[in-house]
Amino acid sequence: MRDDEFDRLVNDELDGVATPEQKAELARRLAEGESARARYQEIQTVFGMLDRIESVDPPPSLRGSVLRAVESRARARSERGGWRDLLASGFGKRPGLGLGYAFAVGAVVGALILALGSGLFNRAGLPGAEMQGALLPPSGSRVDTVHLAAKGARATGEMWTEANGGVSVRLEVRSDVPFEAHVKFNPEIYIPVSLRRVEPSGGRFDLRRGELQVSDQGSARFELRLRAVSASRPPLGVWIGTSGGNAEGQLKPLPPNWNQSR
Amino acid sequence: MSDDEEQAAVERCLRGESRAFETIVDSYQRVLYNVALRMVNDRDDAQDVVQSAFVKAYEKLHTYDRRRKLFSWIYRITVNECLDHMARRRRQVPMEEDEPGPGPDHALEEREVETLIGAALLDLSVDYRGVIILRHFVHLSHREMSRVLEISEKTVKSRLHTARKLLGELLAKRGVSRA
Repeated sequence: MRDDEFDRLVNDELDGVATPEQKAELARRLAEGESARARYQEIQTVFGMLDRIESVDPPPSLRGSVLRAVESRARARSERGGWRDLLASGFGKRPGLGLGYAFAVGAVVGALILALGSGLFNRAGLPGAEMQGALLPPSGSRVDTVHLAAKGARATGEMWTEANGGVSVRLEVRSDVPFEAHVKFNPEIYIPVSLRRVEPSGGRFDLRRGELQVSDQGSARFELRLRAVSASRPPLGVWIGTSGGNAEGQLKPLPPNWNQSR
Repeated sequence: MSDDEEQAAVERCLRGESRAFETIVDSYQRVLYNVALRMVNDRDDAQDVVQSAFVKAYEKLHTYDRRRKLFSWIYRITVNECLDHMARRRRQVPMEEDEPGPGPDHALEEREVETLIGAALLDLSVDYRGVIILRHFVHLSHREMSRVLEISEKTVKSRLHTARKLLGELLAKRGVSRA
């Protein structure tokens, strides 16, 4: 029997899958010579070392971070799918209207591109087109800053109050690992006016009702301008999370003594 | 989780019930974390890899072929994430030199065994590393490994045999002759 065949015999025996015939053959080989016994022991050493390594519990934060990321993607998907389903439902029940559906989608996309190119959305007070380039300080004054650190990531949020009563949030994140960052605001009071992504990095971002969500790795910088539709100025929430942990803080649009000074 | 429960969870996820994904995470997070840990040999990296793998699985769930085992599909995603991760790490950090072994007469502590095996596994190809992980750390039978890896049981046995032989040689190079 060649050495390789002997090794397979030992592997099967130690793996618990050797047949009675294989066991008998192995016993015969081991009784025959010292070299077979030495080889058996070498293979047994590898098995022994492997079996001494115990299974490790995953970190407790793993489950939560996975489910948060999944939930976030599910929300984004359902919001993206909403208008698509609406359009499709209008054409889907009537065969032969696939081209009509494609035309309608094309027309909507074309109109959006035209509107964004003309700046119409910004003038109308709706979320603006994503823009890239140097981020100039927002007009007005900076009224609050928050620094957050999660494992592997740091975020700075700044709140600026504009002369026209609006507010701007500037969010900057630096991270060596995948992260999610959220800016949360009361949608009954703050209406998004524009959103600018300053540092393109290939990550994802979603501006939805009451929340800006960013998923990325590396660095990300955003400026979100909001218009307040009420005299009340509740704080905005800033949250950052990585697989290693998360942190959250608040940005207050006006100094704490703002109410007393009026 | 039985196959039927698994398929029901997949079905609910595809209908938009993202909470159904919890069942899948709960079933597989431990095993996938251990697979990733032995693949990349770093706990933080393993956590990142498993998170990415789960999120990718959720996003691509509509492409999952239900004739296959769900674990088989997620395992493959996790291994691919490990490979991507290791490729990125190789680009960023020069590989460290092997540490000298403990010497032939030294009785190995648990920690040393883990370190030695971890380092030696990294020198095996992914296919060989995979069978060692599934057999010895995830404790799958040959038949289960055959289903997960989608190869015959004969190939599983042959691959395991070669993997252990190479691992033995790598450990011997590091001065291990007896555990």
